[in-house]
Amino acid sequence: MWRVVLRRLLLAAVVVFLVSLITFLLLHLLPGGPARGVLGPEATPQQIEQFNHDHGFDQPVHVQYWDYLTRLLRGDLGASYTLNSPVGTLLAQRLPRTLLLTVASTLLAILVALPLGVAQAVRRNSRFDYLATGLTFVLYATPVFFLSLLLIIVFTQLWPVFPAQAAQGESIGELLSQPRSLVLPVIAGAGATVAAFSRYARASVVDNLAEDYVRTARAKGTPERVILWRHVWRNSLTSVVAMLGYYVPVIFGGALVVESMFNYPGVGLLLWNAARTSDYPVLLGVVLVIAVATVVGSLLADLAQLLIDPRVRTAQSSRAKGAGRS
Amino acid sequence: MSATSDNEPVLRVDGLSVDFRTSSGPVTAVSGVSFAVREREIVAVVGESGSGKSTTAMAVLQLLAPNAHVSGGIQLLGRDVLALRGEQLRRVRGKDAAMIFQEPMTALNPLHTIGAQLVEAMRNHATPQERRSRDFRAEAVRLLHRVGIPEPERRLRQYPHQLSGGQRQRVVIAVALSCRPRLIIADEPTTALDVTVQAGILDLLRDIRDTDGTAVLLITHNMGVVADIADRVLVMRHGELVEQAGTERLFAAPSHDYTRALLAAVPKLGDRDRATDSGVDGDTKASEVDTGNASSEPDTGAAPAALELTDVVVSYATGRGTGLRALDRVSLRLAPGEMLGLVGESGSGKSTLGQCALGLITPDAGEVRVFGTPLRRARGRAGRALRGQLGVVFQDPASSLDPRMTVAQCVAEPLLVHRVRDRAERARRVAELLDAVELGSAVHHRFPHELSGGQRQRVSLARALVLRPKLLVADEPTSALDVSVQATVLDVLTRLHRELGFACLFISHDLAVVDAVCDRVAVMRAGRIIEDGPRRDILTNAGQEYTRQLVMSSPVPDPVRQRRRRGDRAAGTTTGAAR
Amino acid sequence: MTTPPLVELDPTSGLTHRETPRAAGLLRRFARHRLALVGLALLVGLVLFCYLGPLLYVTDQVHTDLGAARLAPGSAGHPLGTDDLGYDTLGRLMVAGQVSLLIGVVAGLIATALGALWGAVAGYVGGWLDLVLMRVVDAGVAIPALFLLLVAATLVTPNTWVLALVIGGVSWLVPARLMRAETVTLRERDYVRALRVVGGGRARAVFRHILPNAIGTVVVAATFQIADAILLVAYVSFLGLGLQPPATDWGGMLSKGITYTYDSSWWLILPPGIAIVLVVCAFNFVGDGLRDAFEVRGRDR
Repeated sequence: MWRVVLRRLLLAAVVVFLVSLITFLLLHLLPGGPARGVLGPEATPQQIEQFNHDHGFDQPVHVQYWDYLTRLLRGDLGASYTLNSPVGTLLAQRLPRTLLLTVASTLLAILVALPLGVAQAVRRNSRFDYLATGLTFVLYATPVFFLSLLLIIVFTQLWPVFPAQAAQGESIGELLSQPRSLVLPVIAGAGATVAAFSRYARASVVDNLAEDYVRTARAKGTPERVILWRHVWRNSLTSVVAMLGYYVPVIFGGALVVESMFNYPGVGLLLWNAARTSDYPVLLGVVLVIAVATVVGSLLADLAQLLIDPRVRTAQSSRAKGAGRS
Repeated sequence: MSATSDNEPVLRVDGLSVDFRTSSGPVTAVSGVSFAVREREIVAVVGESGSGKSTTAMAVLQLLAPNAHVSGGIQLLGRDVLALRGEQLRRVRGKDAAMIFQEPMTALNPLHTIGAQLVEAMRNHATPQERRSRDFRAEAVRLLHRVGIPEPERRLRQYPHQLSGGQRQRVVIAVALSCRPRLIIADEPTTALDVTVQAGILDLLRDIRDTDGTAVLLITHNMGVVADIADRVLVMRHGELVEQAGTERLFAAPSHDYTRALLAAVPKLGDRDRATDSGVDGDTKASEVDTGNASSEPDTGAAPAALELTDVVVSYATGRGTGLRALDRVSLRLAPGEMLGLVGESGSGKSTLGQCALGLITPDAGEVRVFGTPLRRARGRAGRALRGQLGVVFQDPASSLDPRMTVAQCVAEPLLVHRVRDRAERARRVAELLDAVELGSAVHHRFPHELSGGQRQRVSLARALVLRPKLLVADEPTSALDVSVQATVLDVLTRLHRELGFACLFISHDLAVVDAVCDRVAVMRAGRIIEDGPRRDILTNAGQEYTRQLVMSSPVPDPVRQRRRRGDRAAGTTTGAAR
Repeated sequence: MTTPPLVELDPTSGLTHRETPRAAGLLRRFARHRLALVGLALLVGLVLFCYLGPLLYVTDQVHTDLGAARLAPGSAGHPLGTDDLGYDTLGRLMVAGQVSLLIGVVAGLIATALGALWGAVAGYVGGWLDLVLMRVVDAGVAIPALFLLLVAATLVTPNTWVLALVIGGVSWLVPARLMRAETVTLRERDYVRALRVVGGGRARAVFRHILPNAIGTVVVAATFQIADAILLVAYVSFLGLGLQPPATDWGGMLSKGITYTYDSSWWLILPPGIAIVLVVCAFNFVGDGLRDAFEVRGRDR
């Protein structure tokens, strides 16, 4: 089992490296470089040349990347061109806020989606199931910014109960001190996830209900309620947990939009502003952080499966069995 | 709790009919079936796939899918099961009648321990007081002990995947026994198991009946199992009960044509010799060694062997080189024109050996030669020519043919690979081969899903032989088929072998089938060939204890002979244990 | 051995009761899927609306008319009102829809084709190549699409075809993973192994067996991919990286409408938003139906 874990860790590291390479190359192959965007339209050719020299843009690309990589390995993400601050500091400020948003909306999504999916599976092909299926499809098809817009119109205009702007604070504490301002962003972030998770949970429970061991449990007189929760649900949980891990990039993608809709001061807004000002170090830093989160997500999903499923947990003996089959 | 008088059967089924409502209209699975099972009685229901035997079994505890419509009467301990709903039904399941299923690999929940699943079965039918006071774990240990699982305390804490298939099936039986049911319904309980394991499970069922008086309703397709254990037999076909009789009477004098045909189609271990020995029974070692086959007797002289494996090793990549070997220095020689039966239980490595012979697996060590040429050096044009000498028939008729090609296209594919460019020539060869496997021209433009399993296997055989190969590997070619279908496929195979004279490596777990078609038999166990010799010697007078055990454990579809064999086996095991 | 003639003698006796040709069976299973039929009807309706609509309901979508800006619905000649530049909203919905549908379909197909090829190669060849190709996919998934779109926007000026290409290029990762899994399964089917035994090559295995049998997976993936591509088009326009005016798509209309969120100009927001939801739903419904129709497992459950 430890070999499996080690191998996964190694592959994850390779993926993160690939991400840094791809994003770096993409940015540095763009014509013109960031100077014009950073210095503004009135910059003189001398200023631009000075900028390019200062930031190493006059060097060959592989030298630049090697520089970037060695600094990265020391934990140095560089400094923002425009914000007068190291990228690390900026991320340390913004990342907790984005995590607050994503974790809260994912929790909300789970709380709604899983019971819904299980209920649909139990009463599959009933009118309730069709209705819920239709609704989840609609929710999935609603672009995050449109959903945000609808929430803003309904809950700040027609029935003004929540603020449309997130609290603007330096710390997490300030955000939390105005919980009402978090409600709409969290709901908007949860929308598409609810749809995907409930579909997934439904399919998984339906599959497991058709398994042989469910029939065995029924044949020995196990109450349906126990079959559902003790047998089926635990088996479905394995795949639902895996799904959760692989869903990290989607959740982050949603958060980036939500942040710009509600002016929520997280990494999404940071990325957005960095793109507008050609602030390459910030751009690279944010992308790398999201990539790491994605990789860690799928890594955790795999590990969670290892922990839940005794077949994987005691892989040594089962491997021997599987190999024995001719 | 339910009082039944002595003459009242444990289970009485009256005019049972089951229809499934499908999107393409209702499909009748069972119609008008009536029978009874009494205390201390083992009743077997036999039939081929689609006969409705499993549906009948499932109907007893109402375990059918929701789209099943059941009518008629089912009286379990005098109670009408079909009238029960919800909680009442739950109280009957596992308490009055319990079930054992076919697939021990999937019948237990992989995420719960053996102990948890046993205890759950008992708690399901315990009163609230009992739940507090009873020591379920101790009872679970006793149950595991009862079904013959060693170290029950340790097993309780293990998960299903840590047990072998036979042990899992014993756990399923322990679950079934846990509430002391009056009836056990066993749906193909030994079909997924090896014969030696099967013998143990059948012994256990018989013992349960003998000591507890439990009635058993046994669903099976295996006539040998019926002959071994059943007191009475019901024969089903197309959802109807065609005959029921006492076991010995049914085998001695079947009254229905279908039963007669079914019994005749089952290959019986030792039958080939009984026929030639003209009535002389038993183990008199005849002097003749297949005189009938003398002409086709392979000459093991100068010509290179059709297939020759020398010290072949295949190991599976396991963590840190635990050195588990699927094949462990295996050597085997197959002469041109010879039909060699390769037998062994699951995991013995027989399929791996077949794949090595075909070049599908490259051995880690050792050499595989086909007609004198090493397979691993067969590349390019010469390699293709060599591969034209090979043919293969796999086990699973469902995946052996590409579902998107017509039968004719499937058979023609090897010709295309070997650059037979002339269309007419290809068409002629395809027609010739399909004709040889007794499939008419009507099937040429059909798709595989429109054919039955037996027809598909015959198409596979045609495809394997279309290049006129000199070596055929048949990997369990009939294991997925019903006996009647199996008989046809085996007939075609033996006839073509006689006519075309290819060498054949015939891989099978079924000794009776191997006995019926092969000249020579090799026995595999744990990645090694432990014995290899003329068919008769191996199957009647094996040198290895394991081979003898294998032969003894294969049930013969003849209750009288089977009873004697069982006695021999019991004696054999005691002497074996004494040694 | 001799056996009496039994069930199998008549070559037609073994025919299963499912004798309908494959295509017909496929249609039948699809038609049984109610949501899929709803989706199909929606799709036909939307296509007719976008492509036939402008022929029946003629509006000027090129010249601005500031005198008739932001008229409320129901104004003379403007059943859905006009936008801030005086374009008729209903007419604009039709032309914008043409763009959204076109980009979505083309991008979805590009993504599916690219991904299917990538995944098939990785899955069939296996070994090191598989490892490398799939790590690239992993890396691609880990990079936010937003970043890639931003880079693309600096590189090229967007028109319909460029957008389709960019969006297709960003979203081929999921089909690649799907196709790889499918290929790995199909590669070990007995009919492919039987081909290897007689010396058949890789090309024959991939083109004659694996691709034809993966067609179901590919078609289903394409349908879902189109739905996702339409969402992505809207997203791109919302980010301001979309088409240059006067051309627009539903996402572009919506992002312009956002400016008027607080002015209760709902007719600038709801129609394009609802159109997006409808068309994405429709493609997803159809995809769901196709998946059920193609999937052999649990066919009649």
